[in-house]
Amino acid sequence: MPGNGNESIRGKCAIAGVGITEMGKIYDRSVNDFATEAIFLALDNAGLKASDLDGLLINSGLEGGLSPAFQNTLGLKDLRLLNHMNAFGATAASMVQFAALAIDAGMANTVACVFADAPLKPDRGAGDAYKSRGVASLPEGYASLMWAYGYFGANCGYALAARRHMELYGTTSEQLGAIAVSQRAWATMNPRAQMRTPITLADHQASRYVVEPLRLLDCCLVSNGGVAVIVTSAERARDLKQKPAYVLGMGQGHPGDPQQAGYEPQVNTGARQAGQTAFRMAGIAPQDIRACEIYDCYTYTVLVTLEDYGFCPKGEGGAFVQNGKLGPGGSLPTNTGGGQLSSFYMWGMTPLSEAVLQLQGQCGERQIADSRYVLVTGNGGILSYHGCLILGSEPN
Amino acid sequence: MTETVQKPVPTPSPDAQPFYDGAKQGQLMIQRCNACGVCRFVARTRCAECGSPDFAWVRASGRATLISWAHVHQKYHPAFLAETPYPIAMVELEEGPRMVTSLVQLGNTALRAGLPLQVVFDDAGEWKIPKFRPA
Repeated sequence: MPGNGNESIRGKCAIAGVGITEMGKIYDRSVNDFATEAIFLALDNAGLKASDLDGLLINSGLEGGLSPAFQNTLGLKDLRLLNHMNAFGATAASMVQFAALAIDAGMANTVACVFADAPLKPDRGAGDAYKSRGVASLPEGYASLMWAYGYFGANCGYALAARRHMELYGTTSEQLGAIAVSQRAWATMNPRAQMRTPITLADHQASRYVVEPLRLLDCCLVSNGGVAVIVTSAERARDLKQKPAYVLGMGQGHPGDPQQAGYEPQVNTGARQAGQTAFRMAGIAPQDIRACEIYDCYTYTVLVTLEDYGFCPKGEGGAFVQNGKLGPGGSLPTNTGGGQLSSFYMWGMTPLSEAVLQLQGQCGERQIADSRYVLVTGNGGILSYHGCLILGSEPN
Repeated sequence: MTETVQKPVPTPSPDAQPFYDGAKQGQLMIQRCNACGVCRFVARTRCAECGSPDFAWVRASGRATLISWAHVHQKYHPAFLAETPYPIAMVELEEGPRMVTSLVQLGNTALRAGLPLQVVFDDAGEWKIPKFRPA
């Protein structure tokens, strides 16, 4: 039935390997270099060779530089599946979805999915790197109107979204800050995290406004680096080096924004639709989820996404997050590597890679006890594009 | 020698030309679907509600309410430095469409969702662009 999650693919495929390059202000390496290293790290993690790959899905970041011709950079021959995909921050989840569908359909057996970006330059900070982001996909000419108003990029769009939520539901900056504090607590235990100094709510409240109501500590990092994962059949994954991260549920939701009265896609996001599809496919409910790896370009994104997946009623996200529930020792471990706010920003690969590491049991002191069901989400645009995966430690 | 940095100016697309031509005359022009009557902004060739390609440009009343707002503190562009932090907003026109815009003549007005607003037109290079003040 169209629109209904189909259980037939549940547990048929798994993520068998993950590769994460060095991250951050690394100026002397190209996007191709990062992407290549990420794939070879992921192959090594899985116990596979490049010649085992028969599929390649590629996602360029802000800097571009990757195309289907990246196959040749890798020296891959006779691929049965190849594409360059882009739904911005939703792409990582989407690539795994397409890989799983292709594997289940017999089009490929072992597919590498890669993202790499290098928007940071020695003479260009994070703010400048992402100044035009969020307006690039607007209708012709419209972006120029936004710039004329002084609306520059995603910070402005998410600030308007967060303020709308505050006005409708009474959400506060302190509640957003609780998310930043919880995630930084996770990051202190992640050697890969760029920001590992603990913060308090007072630190969050003292951090400068970027676009009010969003403060500096509400905003994600910007990173140069690359991440890849290897998707294969569950059968094959079982014989490889790591514990498989089984793909149990998949979903997407893209609300569109006709800018029309009554539409509130910035407070009722595509996460709701994606979650309904994925939970139905996985045969579970939100209360079964043991940990969340949520796309967190801003603290607000985490809050609204948790609401839309049904972890709490719409409008109650502020109260839900404010008592340490998401942090170490909390009842819903969320963004256990520190997320994009504190570890590194590789679009949807940040939450995805952390979920895979948790399922492999490779997270050291931040390892969660129970990874039976882990929710991974991706979000692009100004809450415009959404994709998710439910990963699990068992194939059912 | 002083050099004044100009704010970014709009570059109208053919689809939206009537919006910019109207703004120059102090008129807020939006599209209205001739099939279902729903008004829209940004310019589109088809109605998002019913799919009809049949539309007319109509003059909006200029009355709107505040949906959301934010104050830009980040120094993105040199031409905005003198007024930073400055407000941007999403407003809902009386006719239905929402637009991203900016707010002017705020005085001591306490901003809140639902605040009644009225359009005004500000220079933007060779064009004018609609902004909103408290009604």
